[in-house]
Amino acid sequence: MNVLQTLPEFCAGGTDLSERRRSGISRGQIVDLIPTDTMTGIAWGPDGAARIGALVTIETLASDPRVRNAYPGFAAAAASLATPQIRSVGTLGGNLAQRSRCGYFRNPHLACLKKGDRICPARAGNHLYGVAFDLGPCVAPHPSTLAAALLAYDATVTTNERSGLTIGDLLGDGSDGAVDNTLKPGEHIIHVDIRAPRDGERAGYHRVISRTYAEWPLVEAIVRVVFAGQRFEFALHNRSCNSLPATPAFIPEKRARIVAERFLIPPFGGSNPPAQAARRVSWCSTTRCAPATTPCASN
Amino acid sequence: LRLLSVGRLAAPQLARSQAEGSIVQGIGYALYEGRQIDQASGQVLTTGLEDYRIPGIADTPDMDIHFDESGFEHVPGGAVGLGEVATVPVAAAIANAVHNATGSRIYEIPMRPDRLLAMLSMRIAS
Repeated sequence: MNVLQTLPEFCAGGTDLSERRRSGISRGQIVDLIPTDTMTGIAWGPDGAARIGALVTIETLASDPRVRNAYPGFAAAAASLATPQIRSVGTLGGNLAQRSRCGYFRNPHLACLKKGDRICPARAGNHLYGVAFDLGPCVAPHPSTLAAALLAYDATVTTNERSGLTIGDLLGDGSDGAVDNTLKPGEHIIHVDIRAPRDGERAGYHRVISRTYAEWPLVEAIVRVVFAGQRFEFALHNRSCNSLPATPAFIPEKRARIVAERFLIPPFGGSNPPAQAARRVSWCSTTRCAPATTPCASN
Repeated sequence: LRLLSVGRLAAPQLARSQAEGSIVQGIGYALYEGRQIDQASGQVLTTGLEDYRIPGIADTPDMDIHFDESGFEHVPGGAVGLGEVATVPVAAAIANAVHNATGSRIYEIPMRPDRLLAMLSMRIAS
């Protein structure tokens, strides 16, 4: 049984990796990433779409005025996670590629699916923070807050070997409990593309934690609403209920409405749903997008 | 507001600082700190401050501390230690606040959100 990881690993900010080095579960070679301009910067296309490098720090995503204007839900998600120290060195790519936070995976003396064993010991053992019981073999939720946010923004990921990956392509559907993502040995994220915000787009992010700051969420949700087409998109990443996928996923609209009404915005309905929703979305301190140019008129 | 009866204060500033620290520690004890173990192996699963949670500075309240210096005249020096004395009642005070807010009493610490929800749903069911 291989309790320790011996494959080479890339080091971006190193906030996850250094802890696994210290505990001893990561024993392979460390490969530095060469910081190219594409990987360290944010490039804006003529239509207002962003190409964000994998080595851009979470602090930059949270504070960059143009990111905050264009993708307020994404920026709010970035601002809410971890602590100022972690945000200042942690990166976009590292957040997406971080390993499971399950205590069994992190303990160097215990075997688990993600360390080569055939069963998930948390399933029958201590799973206080396990939520994904029905839809995959590993019960731990994927820890990436930015993945949930990028899912809501229909972002695509480019690696050194593949391009155009959706968040679902990158993280998988949770059916393989041995992995946290689909990156192969030697593959790393180069950049993430987020399409230009649409006219009339708004977004909100909400994270429920029992401390004021700095805690893994009990539940977190991001909602992105485009009023022009009356389109309602909702991504949920949940740590408190059963029957959820291990990776962030859109939830069915009916259920999304229930969750949105309970956690984000009071009930939709009435004679003018967009106006009502606009008022209610603003109730959860969401921000209207400010597209750099006039984006596609309808969808 | 905290009233502590600990006898004569040898160092009032240190005593106040000690009481403030005790309250913060008591909040951790009441709301966050809980060691999780794997029942099969006995291995500890909460091996860092990321999993073994304690209050952050934003989780601490404004504190108004008063000392009653009488009551320990029979003790040499007229004073006793105050660290643990100040820590222990915090959980009871927070549990009382939960009762005041919800009408239900919680008897387990840490008073985690899942335990509060379980307590409230039991009350709704009964």
